[in-house]
Amino acid sequence: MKKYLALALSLVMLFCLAACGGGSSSGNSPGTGGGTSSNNTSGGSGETIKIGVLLPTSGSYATSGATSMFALNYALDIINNEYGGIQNMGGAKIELVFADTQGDSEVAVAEMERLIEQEGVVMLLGGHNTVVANTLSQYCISYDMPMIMTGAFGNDAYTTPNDVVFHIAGTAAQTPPEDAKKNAWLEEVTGGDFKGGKVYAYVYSADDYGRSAYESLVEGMAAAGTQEIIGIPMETGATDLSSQILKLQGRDDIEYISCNIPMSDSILFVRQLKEYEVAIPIFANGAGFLVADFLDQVGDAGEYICSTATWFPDYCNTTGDPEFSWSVDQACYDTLGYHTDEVFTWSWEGIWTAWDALERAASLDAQDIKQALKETNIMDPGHMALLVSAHDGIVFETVEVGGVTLYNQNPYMTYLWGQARDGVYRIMYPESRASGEYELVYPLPAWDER
Amino acid sequence: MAFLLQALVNGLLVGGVYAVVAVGLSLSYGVMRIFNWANGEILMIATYMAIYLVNYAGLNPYLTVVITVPVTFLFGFLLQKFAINRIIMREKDREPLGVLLFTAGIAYILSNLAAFVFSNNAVSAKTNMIGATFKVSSIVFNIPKLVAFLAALAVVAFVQIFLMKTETGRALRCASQDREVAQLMGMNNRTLYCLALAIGFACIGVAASVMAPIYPATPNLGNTFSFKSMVVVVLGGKGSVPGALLGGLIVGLVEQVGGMFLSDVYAQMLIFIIFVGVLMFKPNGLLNKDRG
Repeated sequence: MKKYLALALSLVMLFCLAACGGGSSSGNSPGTGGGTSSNNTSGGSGETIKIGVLLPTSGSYATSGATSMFALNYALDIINNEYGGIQNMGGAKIELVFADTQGDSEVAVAEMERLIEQEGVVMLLGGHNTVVANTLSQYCISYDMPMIMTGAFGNDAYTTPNDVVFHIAGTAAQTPPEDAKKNAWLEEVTGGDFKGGKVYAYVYSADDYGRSAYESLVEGMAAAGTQEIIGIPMETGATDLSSQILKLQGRDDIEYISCNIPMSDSILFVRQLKEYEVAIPIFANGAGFLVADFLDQVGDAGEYICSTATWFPDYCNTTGDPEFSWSVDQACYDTLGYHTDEVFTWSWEGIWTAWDALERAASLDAQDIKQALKETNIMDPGHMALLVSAHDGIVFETVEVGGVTLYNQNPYMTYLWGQARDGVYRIMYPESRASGEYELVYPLPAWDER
Repeated sequence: MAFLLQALVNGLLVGGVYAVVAVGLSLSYGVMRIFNWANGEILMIATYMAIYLVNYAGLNPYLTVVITVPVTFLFGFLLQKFAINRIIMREKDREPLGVLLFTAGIAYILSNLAAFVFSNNAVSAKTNMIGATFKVSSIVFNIPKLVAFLAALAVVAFVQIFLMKTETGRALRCASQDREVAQLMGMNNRTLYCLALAIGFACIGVAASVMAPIYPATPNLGNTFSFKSMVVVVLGGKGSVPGALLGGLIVGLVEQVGGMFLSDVYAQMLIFIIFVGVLMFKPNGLLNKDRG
């Protein structure tokens, strides 16, 4: 018995190790080492600079991990083979050392320590959910390990004063002012059919990000004149949402439902709204509604759903090099079976920002890298970092918004609002970025007319 | 009042879905005294199977039972025969811990394998059964959930009749009461265990087919149902097949009716308050006799 039990447990443990262990993107290149206290000053020609990447490649956030991994490897190929690596370090190549966080903060910390102590990475990229991002932020500060967070998180990940962790994407606190502007625009273009969003329901996952986003919304939207936000927290992985939907059905003053829930819950939510013929429009706040494949999975019921994001593929038309941007989008589609999304762009921006900082730092010393990151000033629309990015620029500053102070935050928060048409989100707002081919349909047609 | 009535209907229908998933778990626990921790993951794999049969073979979701049931039955039989039996026969404990750990390992392997094979994106069946409803007065009945509810009744009736009225069923019940005595009476415990797990998994095969037009499949689907079916089985009575039905209906009703007055988060909490209460005051479950 003991023999078989030991065998079974060994197999399970082996599987765990295989799942937890990171892979390297570029073979067995020797690392130039250097943790936070490295005295290395440069990587010479033929040497490799290791950057640790903490992504959830298993568990419920694994789709975003897979998207990020593709974006990072695609950009890495260009950096190493077309740009010749880090020119100011003798053409040293970048090696990405991936580690699976499983979306779990304890695993993420263990993997982060492995990357620093065993792999000798010089900086970190990644994050991808609020709990992990919060924890990693604190540990990076303790380890004095420079990190670029490539995700949008609850406010707590941004509010500790430091010069170590840098954020490209927006946070919950930055959304309400943009929502308010969009609502004013919507009121105007619908000739007053849309009443400015005075009362709406906010369906969110009962986790750190969901709660943080809800609290920011309540505070931020009250300042913008919203009278009531009906908060509907829900456990992720729901098996039925009828009771929550029936509550909404009983309110005829709700102008829209804003959702911030994972993809499988989003699918269930849309299906059940249709089932009960709830006519309130859905203005999703990204999350599951933006995950690749969502619109395909909900079929006709997805048509006319509106969603907020920092990226829709149509944005390729307005970047510094539309042809290149579309070629990246096509490569993503050909490989992963879905188009680029905001998660893709955050990772894309992350690695190009890291490359930019290493070029300027010309050093593997943590202090030099942090200083270079702090001095990041990517404003040229033709810069590779901005070609698959909806940001107008990347700099890191202290930003005050909605009564919250965000440190090392990119102030160039972009806010796009799109409507699903023919199975793809088309940009409607801001009009300067609008697809043009499609006009906003409002009010939304009844479910059986979609 | 109409909302409350609607919540009651929803609770019963959702409870039926929970019950059909939990029957298999209850049966295998009843016979072997083992909580099969991989129950939810088997359901997840079988649901993928059903959805792919709908999407790529063009089968009606309910016709997929002709594939899902034999496949899950066979998988259960072989898993028991070549793996679990070897562990269980060497454990002296009445509720062997080794098998629990083994099934937990299987669950972990299957969920990671599913993420690798199917990716983590949700996959829905492409069928016009999704969201199909009819109304009685103002009450909406979701047809796939109604089918799941009826399937739960049919599965419970079938398994109960099998256990009570057939020779093999009586042998299974005998083995569940005392495996050593059953063996002394000339019964082949190994074969009985294989049969118990196979039937349990076949019930999951039924659940997968009726769930295909209700839920999208994701590698995490198993997590949700593993935990809920464990609660259902404990509430109804570990090993009691009708108890699984009762437990499923209780969970469904608390979730839906509670959710009308509370948030989803508190409704879920309420289920666990009841769960803890049952464990404290009626540890063998609502339909099992307490044995001091």
